[in-house]
Amino acid sequence: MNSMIKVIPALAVFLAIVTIPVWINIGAEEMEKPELPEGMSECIESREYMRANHMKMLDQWRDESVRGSDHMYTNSKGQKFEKSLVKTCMNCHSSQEKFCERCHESVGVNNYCWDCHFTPEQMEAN
Amino acid sequence: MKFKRGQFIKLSALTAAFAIGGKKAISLIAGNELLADNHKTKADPNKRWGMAVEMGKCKEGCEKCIDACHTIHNVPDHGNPKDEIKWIWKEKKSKIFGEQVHPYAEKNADKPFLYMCLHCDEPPCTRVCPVNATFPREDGIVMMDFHRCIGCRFCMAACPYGVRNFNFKDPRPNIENPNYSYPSRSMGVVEKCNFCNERVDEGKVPACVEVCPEKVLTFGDLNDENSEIRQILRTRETIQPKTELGTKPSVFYVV
Amino acid sequence: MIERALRGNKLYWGWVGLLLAAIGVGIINYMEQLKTGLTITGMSRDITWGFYIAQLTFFVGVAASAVMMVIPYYLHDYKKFGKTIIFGEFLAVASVTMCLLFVVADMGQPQRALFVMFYPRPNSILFWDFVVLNGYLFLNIIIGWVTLEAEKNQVAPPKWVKPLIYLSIPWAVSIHTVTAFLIAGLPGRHLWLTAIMAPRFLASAFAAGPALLIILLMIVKKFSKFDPGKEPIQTLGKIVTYAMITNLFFYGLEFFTAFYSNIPGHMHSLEYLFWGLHGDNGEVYNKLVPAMWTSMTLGILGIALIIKPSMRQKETVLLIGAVMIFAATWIDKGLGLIIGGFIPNPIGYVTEYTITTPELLISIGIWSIGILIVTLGFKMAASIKKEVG
Repeated sequence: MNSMIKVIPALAVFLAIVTIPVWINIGAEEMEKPELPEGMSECIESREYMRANHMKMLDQWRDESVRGSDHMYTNSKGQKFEKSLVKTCMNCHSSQEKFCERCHESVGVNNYCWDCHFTPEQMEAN
Repeated sequence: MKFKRGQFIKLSALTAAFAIGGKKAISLIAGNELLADNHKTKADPNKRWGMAVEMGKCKEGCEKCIDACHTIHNVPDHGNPKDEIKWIWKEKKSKIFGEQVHPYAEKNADKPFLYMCLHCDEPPCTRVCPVNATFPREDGIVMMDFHRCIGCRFCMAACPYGVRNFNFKDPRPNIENPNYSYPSRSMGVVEKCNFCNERVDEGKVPACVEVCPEKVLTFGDLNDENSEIRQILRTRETIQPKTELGTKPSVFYVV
Repeated sequence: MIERALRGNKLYWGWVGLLLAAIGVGIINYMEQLKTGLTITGMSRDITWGFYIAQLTFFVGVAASAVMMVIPYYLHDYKKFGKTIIFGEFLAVASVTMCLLFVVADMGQPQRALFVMFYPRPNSILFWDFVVLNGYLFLNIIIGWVTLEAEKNQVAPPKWVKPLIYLSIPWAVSIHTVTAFLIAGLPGRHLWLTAIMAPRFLASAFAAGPALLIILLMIVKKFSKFDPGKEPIQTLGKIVTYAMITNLFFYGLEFFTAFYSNIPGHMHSLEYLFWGLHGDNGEVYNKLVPAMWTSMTLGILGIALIIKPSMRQKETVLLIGAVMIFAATWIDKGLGLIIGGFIPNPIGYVTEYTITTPELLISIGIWSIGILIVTLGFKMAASIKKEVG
């Protein structure tokens, strides 16, 4: 029982550290939603599909276009697009800061695409 | 040619509509639906791209091909040989061909020859890549997948021609005039001449070939016996460096 | 069992503290490398592999020290190695760990390190190196731990360890062969394109590994109360002697093929290493010449010291000989082999290589991790063996 004096506080500290993701953002402002492009009715796939799958789709696109030189994507409606983040996606979602960054920064996923690919902002500035 | 009145009116109307609304129509299409104007083709396994280099025609001091390549591909200039990246450059003949060039050639031994990745048919570099980041495409171009490269530099050790480069640091600060329609690379990956695969996929020739005012470079399909490059290879003497290593390069130097 | 490594006097904890400090400095410098890139090392477009890969090739060799005792003990019933095999196994664990860390330190995109598993390419020797190094690491951890624990509890080790031990013998040979194959199949590098690269790796491994083990066992004897005995150290000394003679003999064979054939490509790298090369404009390139001759001298002197059994019996002499041979193989297999392979470059230019401070500090950090594993492991093993007797 003597050791309980040391164990319980230590346990409390441990729990506090381990549950940091839950409580550290209490009171913080709500995440800014990504800004959707004006005048566009839909993306190349549905919103739900893109939310769940855009990462996988981009991965597949990059493998298929770079490695297989297969440049054409046919969506679920049969429309064809070029498999390109910059030329297709960013053509409508024309701001990395106001679209991609909004979610990626909050969830802490580094979208390192822009280490190499130029953002629409960079392209516009030049 | 004889036009029926109705046909003529339809034709004029269409032309007028296209002239006025065409541009808008295209932007609507591009804006709303981005339908792929798919002029990008897949790598054709029946083709085998090759290049013939006729240094006899190259003008001393002209570096248009090098400038074009390095500009459109965002190749950085770090200003020191340690971090240097060069996709195409002028190298001394005696260095490229080694013992083939004898001392009696005198000044001719140092004649500058255009040197770039030779896109071997049996490349040692692709053999050693542990993650298949560099691989031979069906049409013969030795490709680099910068997304896959882990930066182990094994391909650089394996290449017997010394044409590969490594990004020892972030290239962006040292890209003088970035080409915003082509990505740069990140630090920690290997890069080299890619025979302008992005242009080849659109049916164009590599930038160096297109920009050369003297037509030093001829790019074409080695599998097509009627191509211009096959004609050159049939009728002229050509040499290639280090063929005894079994690499089977796709670049031929016309003697 | 680990608690035995956490008990020690001031000297022990001082030593561990020093190692942790060195590891910390290494980590700080590695973070700088992650931020700025490999430009902070001495590597360049021509010298694409430098100190890190040199350490990889060398420590793969040191990991052989275990198999040099496993073969006599388990296959030929040479019981004298009974007290020392565990130290060889822990040294192998430390060496292979250092090898893997040096590979990661050398990578341009270390966050993609696992791509070797996700996108494997069996055609590439680097894939197989990854497989065999990790396999050998786990083999030695399991074998070492289980046999040591069995000894502590004074029971025979469980039956399933035996097949693993037998497996570790060809596996040990494979780590050297595969690492040699990394460089021996590259058509453009004439210093490396030789069939005896793998035998050379094995010979220098069987010299360097046991030499280091002799040094470490003498340290164990001095600082702990455990005495491994005179015989195992003497036998290790014999192994070092013959392995080093074979190593130097193989080196001589390389010289013969290169210089008798007079083929420039074969000669140039050896010329650079031992005499230096001249550039087109009279530049002199000879940075590695003093190191290579030191290596040869140390190697020959080391052999001369310990080749005579009566000399070998004197433990001080054996220690000096082991240190000399270890240093000789470190210089030759690390710096000489890897840096020399890149000089001259494929189109005949010479770029020399100088290690930079951050590169050295990162390397010292990784060495310290290895030494820490050795320290903890040996402390554990020595304390158990002393107790059990």
